[in-house]
Amino acid sequence: MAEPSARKLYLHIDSISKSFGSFQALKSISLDIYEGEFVCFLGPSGCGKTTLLRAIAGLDIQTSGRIEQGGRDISALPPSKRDFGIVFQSYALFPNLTVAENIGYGLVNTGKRRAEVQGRVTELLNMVGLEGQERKYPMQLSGGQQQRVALARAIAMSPGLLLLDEPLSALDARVRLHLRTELKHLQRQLGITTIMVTHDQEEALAIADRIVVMNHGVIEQIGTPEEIYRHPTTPFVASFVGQMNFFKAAASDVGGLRIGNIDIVAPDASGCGDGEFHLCLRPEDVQVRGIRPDQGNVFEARIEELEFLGSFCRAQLSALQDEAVRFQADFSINAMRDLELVPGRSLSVALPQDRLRVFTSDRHR
Amino acid sequence: MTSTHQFLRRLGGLTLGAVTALTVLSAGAQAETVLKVYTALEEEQMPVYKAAFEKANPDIKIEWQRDSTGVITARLLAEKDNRQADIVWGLAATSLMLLDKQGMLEPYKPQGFDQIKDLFKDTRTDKPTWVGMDAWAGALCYNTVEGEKAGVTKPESWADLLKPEYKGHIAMPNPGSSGTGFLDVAAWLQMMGEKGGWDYMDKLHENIAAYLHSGSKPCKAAAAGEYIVGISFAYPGVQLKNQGAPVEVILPKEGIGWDMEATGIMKGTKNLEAAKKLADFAASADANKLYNDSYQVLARKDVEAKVPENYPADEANKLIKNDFYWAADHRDTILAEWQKRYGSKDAPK
Amino acid sequence: MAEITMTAPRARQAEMAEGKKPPIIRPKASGDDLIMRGCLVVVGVFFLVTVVLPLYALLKKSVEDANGGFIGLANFAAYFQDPALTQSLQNTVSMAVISTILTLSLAFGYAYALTRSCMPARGLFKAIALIPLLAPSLLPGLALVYLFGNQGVLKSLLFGETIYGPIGIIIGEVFFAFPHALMILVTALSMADQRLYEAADALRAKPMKTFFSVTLPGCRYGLISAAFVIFTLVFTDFGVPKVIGGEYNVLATDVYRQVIGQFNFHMGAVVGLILMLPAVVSFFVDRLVQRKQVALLTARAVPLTPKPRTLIDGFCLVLCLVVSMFLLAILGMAAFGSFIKFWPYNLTLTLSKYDFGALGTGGWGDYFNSLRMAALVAVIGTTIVFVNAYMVEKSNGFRWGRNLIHFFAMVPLAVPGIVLGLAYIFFFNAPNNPLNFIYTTMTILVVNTITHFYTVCHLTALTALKQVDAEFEAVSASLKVPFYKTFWRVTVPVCLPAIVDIGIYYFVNAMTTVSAVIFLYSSETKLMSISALNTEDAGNTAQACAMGMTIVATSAILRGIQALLAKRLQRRSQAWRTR
Repeated sequence: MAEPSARKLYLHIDSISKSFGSFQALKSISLDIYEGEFVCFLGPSGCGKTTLLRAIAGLDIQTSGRIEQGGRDISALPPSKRDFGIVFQSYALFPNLTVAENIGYGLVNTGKRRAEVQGRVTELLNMVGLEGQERKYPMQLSGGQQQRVALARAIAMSPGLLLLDEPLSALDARVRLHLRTELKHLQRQLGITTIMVTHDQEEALAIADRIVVMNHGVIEQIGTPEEIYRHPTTPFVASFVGQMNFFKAAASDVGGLRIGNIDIVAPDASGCGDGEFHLCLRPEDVQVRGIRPDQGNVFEARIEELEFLGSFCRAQLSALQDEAVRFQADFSINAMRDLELVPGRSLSVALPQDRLRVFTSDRHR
Repeated sequence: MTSTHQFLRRLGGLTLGAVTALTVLSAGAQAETVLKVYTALEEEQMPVYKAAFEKANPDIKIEWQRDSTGVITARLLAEKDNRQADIVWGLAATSLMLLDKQGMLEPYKPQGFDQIKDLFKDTRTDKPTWVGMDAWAGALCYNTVEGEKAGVTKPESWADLLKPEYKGHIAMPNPGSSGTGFLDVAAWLQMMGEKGGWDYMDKLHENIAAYLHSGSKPCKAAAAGEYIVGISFAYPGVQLKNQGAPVEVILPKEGIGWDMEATGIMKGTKNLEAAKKLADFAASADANKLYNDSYQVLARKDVEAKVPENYPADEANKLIKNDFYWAADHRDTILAEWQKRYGSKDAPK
Repeated sequence: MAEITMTAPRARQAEMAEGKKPPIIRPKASGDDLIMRGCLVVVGVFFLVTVVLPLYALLKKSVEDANGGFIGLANFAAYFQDPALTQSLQNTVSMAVISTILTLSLAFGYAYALTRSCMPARGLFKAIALIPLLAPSLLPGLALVYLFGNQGVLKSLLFGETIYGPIGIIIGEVFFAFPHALMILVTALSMADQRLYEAADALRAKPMKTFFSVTLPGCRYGLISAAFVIFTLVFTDFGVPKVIGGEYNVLATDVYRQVIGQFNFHMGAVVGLILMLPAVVSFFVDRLVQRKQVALLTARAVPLTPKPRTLIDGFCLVLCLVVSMFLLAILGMAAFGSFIKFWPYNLTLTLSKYDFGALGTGGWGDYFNSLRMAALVAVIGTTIVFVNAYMVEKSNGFRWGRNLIHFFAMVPLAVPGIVLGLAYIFFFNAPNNPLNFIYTTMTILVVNTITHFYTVCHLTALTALKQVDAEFEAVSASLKVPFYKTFWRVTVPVCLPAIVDIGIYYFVNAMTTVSAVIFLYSSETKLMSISALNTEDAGNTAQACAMGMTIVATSAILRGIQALLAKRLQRRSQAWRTR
């Protein structure tokens, strides 16, 4: 990932707020998006991600705040005066027009010659892998094919910005996986700045250059997929992206933390002061093999349940020392075999210090 | 088969008629004045009158608008501030008096005014705003077939209708909705006096099967066998009899209430001269002869009235001495009293 | 450029530091927005002229004395002292309630049979059920007299009761309201989710239990809305009580009595306004109920396909047979009556009653006037309705304006025809109205009829538009295509079936309308529906039947053509609908 500041700023969003009556859907959102970037707005439904996208498109103009696109102030402009292509969740394909007519819809209106439009439509169809389908109607296509038509239509006019509103959510799981790879390739190939709204964290992690995690109308965190996954800065991000164990913890006498009656050493716990904390650890980070005796945070735990998930197993564990301390751990099939893990068995586990994250409880929303 | 054939022939005639009408229409386009006439005369009478007038006055074309007495009067009143009609030809005199009260009529004494019987003109003034054409009187329609079936005899008088045998067999127009109904009520009150009139109606009410919303309806219903006696007026009964209905039209012997068709020019008309010509024609002997096809009592003294086919004779002598002005002045109170006494009858007995 | 992007936030930060609120963004309207708003303003003016001002003129009459002086509510006070009022009001309410209950039960059973059973000939039964829409109100009244009158062929069915009065009114109103209720209930019942029934089956619920816990709640909004429509229709109807009601007075005949019988426009206006009140109330309740309807059906619902059930299907068939026989009997009797020489004494068959020219007057000319008016209403009305509904549904911003126009579009439902007609004469024939030149022209008949039947058309158009993807306009804007091109190329073709429905509805109603236009026509623009009324008034019942049947036949033929065209249309221009 290149250093963001070295790249050219394309979309500058400054303190955007949006109210619907007394409900505040967006609370002073500021965000910079760079040229050629693929950015995902990620969050649960109602978090404001679609509202933000529609504000950028000019479909629901923000109550206050400023948006600049390519240096141009577009804050108050209607959609038709902005420069973007858009794919909706429903695709919004014109059902009575053929595939070719749908894709060429905007081109025809620019006064281009028929042959020129046809050439461009063929080019776009090839690009999205729908050669020879131009005379079909949308209803005669599969969901995935419809999605491609919508995409081709959105990029037909070579817009500077591509907006995707949950474009994959209406598709089967397999088609979705396949299409998201293609979508990423196409975006790379065209180098078009792209914003995609999604509630699927896996999709966001797989496809985005940067992820904007939103909740309750504010941005929780902005970062690369790895940053978001590895270093969530808020408990919300930690819980929303990927699987996460949350341990309730309190400061211990020895200056460390205690989970139940287990003493824990955590890296950034010092200076947290008194009060309640939450310790976070991803299930796959629970260590069971190669535990060094001196590494700390080691205790015995019993396997309560095992869930087979294909390439790995997810175990429900409880600490022997304090049965109220319950957590999940992911074990590879290898580890399962080597350690002969079965429900009811006890084993030593370690919570690696460098993987533990500490949040003070009052920040937990 | 024959009827289909007949129908086709009629259709052919129809087409021919339409073509003729079109030709007449395009020829009529050259006529100088178009006179807008409002009328409540029967649908089939007006074309004949129109043709006769236009023949006599080729430079004037009549465009007529016909509706029932109530609707056309309501419309004339509603259009008071922006009048559409030039002249009213063939509307109940009581309606014209209403218009006159509102100052909507242009006084005009047509040619031959002295030949009009006194009953048919406003004798109180030298500038009459309306002139009568013919009279139509209240009448009973009696269905002979149903009467025989039910053993109900033919009534000869108003008093007959109070007999128990008529209970549930009489239909009468609601005076609140129908001019004919009001005419009957007003006649009873004039003939029998205020108290006697209401007493009579109290008893009649016991025998009435239904009060209907139009004046011709009771007679039509009687002709169709729905009731045995319909309190109505003569014209529809005669028409129905001509069509083959088993009805007798009876003029009760005590005397009958009546109204007349009349003509009046609308004040403010832009075609005053043409309207005057029509008023002249409407009062002429020629026109009265035409009226005689449908009515027995005519306005002109000099036209000998014959009795139209199937019409009960001797109508002229049975007309009561009707005080139109009294009836008009007391209309509201009479209707309110009637409404109070009989209006809230919730279902036919 | 970099400088601009840098300074702007700083300036804002400075503002914020001083505690100022960030400025509210005023969205700039695009060309599209301006055109749409322009259209909305035009439509607003249209409603002002066709609904608001005429009703205001009427309202003014109700608080004036005979000389035009303001007397406040004295007319209302006088009317409320009329002893007949309580009776009329009571009659009207009880008629409306009974007719509503009867119609609703019958229509629900019929709609259930059409949508949820596997009985044969469902298409045919549906077509039969819509017949009453095609008939002018005079026709069933006459047919009921032929059937159940004192000389009626089925008189014995009444066990000595008379048809003139409540019984006749109720039968007539049920005949009239039935197709309206049916259309709403068929829509409500066809929007069912198969999964709910599968769940009920899986839970081993008894059929009765399923009916009461799944079927009824699923269409309760349809039922409520149908109930209000029927109630409003019956409450304000004037045709049926006038022909068959005898002296059983209802509010609508009170208006008639005041205006046509006593020429008391002020009192007529008073009753007219009273007549509107319950309709207005039911309108707002209906709105409230409709609002809750929205989230009922999710996109993931699976449409229900009925399975054969011998007993229930058999019962449905019997019900449909009985109801459609009743509807056909009424129409058939009117048809029969039109061929009879003189009911009931000379039953020779004849075609002479169809020779409308025989009486020498308007004749078939009235018929062509009706056709011309109906065609104009269908074309112009449908255009106005659809464009307006589109603007209300799809335009941006200008919210209060859109809500107001939507409200105006809903008002005509609450205005009985005779009241609208009176309002028009007062407004359009005022000497100082610059529009008074359209009085007595074809134009005023067309405008009046479009307005009179506006609401149902408006709702149909809105329903169709709500089913169109909400993002078409957004997509067009992003492709820099003006909205009107998308409207023409996409929205109109996609909504074509609904548009045709609206057109037919307008045409059929324009052919049968009487009460609203009776004050407005002229000799040049006389309509066949009015002719039929006058003909009946003059005693030519059979000929009135013949005229009514001509209207029915015309509308039926049009519907037939529509059905045929719809089939071909589906094959051709709607090819995209098929997979």
